Amino acid sequence: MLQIKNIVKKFGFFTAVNGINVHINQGELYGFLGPNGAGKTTTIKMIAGIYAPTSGSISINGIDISKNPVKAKLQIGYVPDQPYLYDKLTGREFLYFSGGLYNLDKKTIQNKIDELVDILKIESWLDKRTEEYSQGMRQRITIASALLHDPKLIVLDEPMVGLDPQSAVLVKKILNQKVSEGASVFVSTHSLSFAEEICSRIGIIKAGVMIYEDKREAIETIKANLNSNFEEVFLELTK
Amino acid sequence: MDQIFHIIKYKLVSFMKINTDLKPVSILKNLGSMVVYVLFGIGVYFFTLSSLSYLLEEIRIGTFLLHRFVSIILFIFFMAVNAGNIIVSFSTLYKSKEVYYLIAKPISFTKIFLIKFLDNFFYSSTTMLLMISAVMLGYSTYFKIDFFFVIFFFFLMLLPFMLIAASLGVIFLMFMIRISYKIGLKKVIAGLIMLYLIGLLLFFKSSNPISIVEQVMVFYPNINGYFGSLDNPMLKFLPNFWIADSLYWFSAGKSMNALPYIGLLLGTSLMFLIAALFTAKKLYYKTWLESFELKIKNTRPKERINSKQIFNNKSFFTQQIDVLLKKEFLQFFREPGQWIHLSVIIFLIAIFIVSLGGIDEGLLNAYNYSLRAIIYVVIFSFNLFLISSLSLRFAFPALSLEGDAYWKLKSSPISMRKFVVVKFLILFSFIFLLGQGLNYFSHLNFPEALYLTSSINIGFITLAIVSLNFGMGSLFINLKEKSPIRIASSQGASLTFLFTIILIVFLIALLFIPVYNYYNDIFGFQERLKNIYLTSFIIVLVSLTISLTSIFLTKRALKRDF
Repeated sequence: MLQIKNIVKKFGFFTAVNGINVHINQGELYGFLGPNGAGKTTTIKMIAGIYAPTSGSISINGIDISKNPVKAKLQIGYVPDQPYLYDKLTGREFLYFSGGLYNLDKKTIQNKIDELVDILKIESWLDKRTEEYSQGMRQRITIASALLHDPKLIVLDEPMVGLDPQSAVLVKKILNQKVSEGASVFVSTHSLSFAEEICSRIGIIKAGVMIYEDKREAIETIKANLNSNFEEVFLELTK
Repeated sequence: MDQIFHIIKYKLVSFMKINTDLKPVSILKNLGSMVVYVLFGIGVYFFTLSSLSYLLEEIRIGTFLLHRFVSIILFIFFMAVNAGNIIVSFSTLYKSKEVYYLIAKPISFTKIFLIKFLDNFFYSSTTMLLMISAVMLGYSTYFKIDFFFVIFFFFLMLLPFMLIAASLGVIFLMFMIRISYKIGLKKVIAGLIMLYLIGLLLFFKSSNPISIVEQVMVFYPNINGYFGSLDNPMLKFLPNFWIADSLYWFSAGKSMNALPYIGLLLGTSLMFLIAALFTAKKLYYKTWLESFELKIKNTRPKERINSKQIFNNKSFFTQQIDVLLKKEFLQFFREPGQWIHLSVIIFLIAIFIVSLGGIDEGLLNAYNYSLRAIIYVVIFSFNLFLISSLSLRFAFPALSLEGDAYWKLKSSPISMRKFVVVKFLILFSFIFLLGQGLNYFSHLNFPEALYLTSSINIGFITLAIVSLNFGMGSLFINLKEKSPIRIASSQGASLTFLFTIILIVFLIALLFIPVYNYYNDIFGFQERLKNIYLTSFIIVLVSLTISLTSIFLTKRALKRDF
């Protein structure tokens, strides 16, 4: 579903991402971890088609995002690290706007909004301007906008930041459900417990380089061998 | 006071860090801007010199009339600074994140008000200040006044003048919010527009340029004397009159006569600043709290209905274009800063059109051909200045106003070309229609050939100016700034305005001789027509070239990472 081949991203003389390779299959939930400034958001922005890689390639469902961005983006649902919305639009209008960008017809958008309103519990503030929303409310609307078109690949950058415990549980439930329906998920997070709990595979990036990547079970083995928890393993790997 | 200096110091440090980027591209960009600024300043200097010489030596309007025209221009400038300050202050005093930050700190509300007020005041357009300085240099050279006069004028006349307009603006704003809270925003805005309208009508009624010209010309050729007795006594209470009269006395070499006016300017500006601070002490925090409730009060009920309907309405366009159009529409009309400013500009256009009613066919025929050509060119350039102001205010910030939510478009399956074309066409159609409306009303009384060609010329020049502003706006895109007015006063915007003015001056120079010859019977009619059409053809070619280059610039600029 997602094939990242040796991508490099340079900003002037600074190399933010240096030769990362990732392959995610259908129905896989990939956790992308790393300390602050490691290159997680830059990698995600390249997957979402916001940044162009300096070299290397990213394919979504076999479509190269640099060569055919419009077709590739049709397959992706993206949730950024900062859920900025158009302040003057209401949540509902933002969702209609998002659906329209994916060429969904009005009836489909309406049905999907009704369905997502229920799942994400956003009914009570859907018709208020987003400038009145809290961080959590914005996050939920952003997640709803990413799911409107039933994407094959969901890319989330720190989705748990600013969420209350109820919302966090909700997001985990939605991601698991999407994976069980056959979608793939690529999620960056600082929450080790979140990664441990729901990710089937975990990659750790440090200073733009992938320093670890394996199935979740492998981490369990390391933990057992070292007689430590995931936090200690993570700190050891990234020190 | 220590707290104020402390905050201003860090604001300056932050400003310096943002504006002193040492990357080669930024250094080149800044050097390029500097060269354009200097060339522009030199151009304005010589333009002022030759205009003064033309008006005083060839047309012979006399120094008294010249300074009465200066007074009219200053009055319009005063109204523009005043209205502009109301709009800018609303976003900086009531909506800025910095105020949220400062309000949580142990700083008095009056101090926060003062900091933000000074911030607004000194964030005025670099181009405007450069232009005024160059004009004053030209003025002092022509009248052989000492060079230090320009510095004197700047600090002791212009700044107090602007301070009066700005202080009055924030006082109005605080009272507007108070009253809006009680009777509703729309009524207050309608009331304010009426107030401005009455002010403008009263001013133009009491200082009708045509009647002043007629009254002074009775004394021809002794028209350089002082005809203060002809002035309406009410006008003597206005700051624009104080400056204009002071300038008259400076030009006449009797600077002592100007001193009482300068004293009045300084005293009044201090009085208005104190009044603004006093009002802020009483009302700033109260109105800051009320502005939240006002926002919710004004938006909630209708949006509940609209929100469900607007995006669901049937449309002739494809889904992508449909949602882009609706988003633009809602963003524009739900941002008071946008539609209020548009209303003010349309209002000024209406005043311009109404005031042109005086230049009827009879009047045009009464003057000699050289004056008719000048009237045509002046009206034509005024139209272009209005179009360039509209473009600078609405087309330049258009892409920056996507703001932090730009990620949605960048990550969506929509081609950037489609997005740019839709956005550009909305802006172009709206400014084009206004331009054509302006052309219709302002050129209708001119000969048919001139009216038709002005319509074509204005249409294509509008295309060039809107494209230029849109393209430069993409080059200097700033997704972090939310205030369109601040974006339209940024360095990039000033540079764009300079380019636009250079373009306008070039096109006017191109047009003047054929129009002059058109009114002059020396050549045959067909020959004169041919020249007018040929000039139009050149204007179309130049405009298309600028437009295509700007669109190419936009396309390249939007390929960058954001």
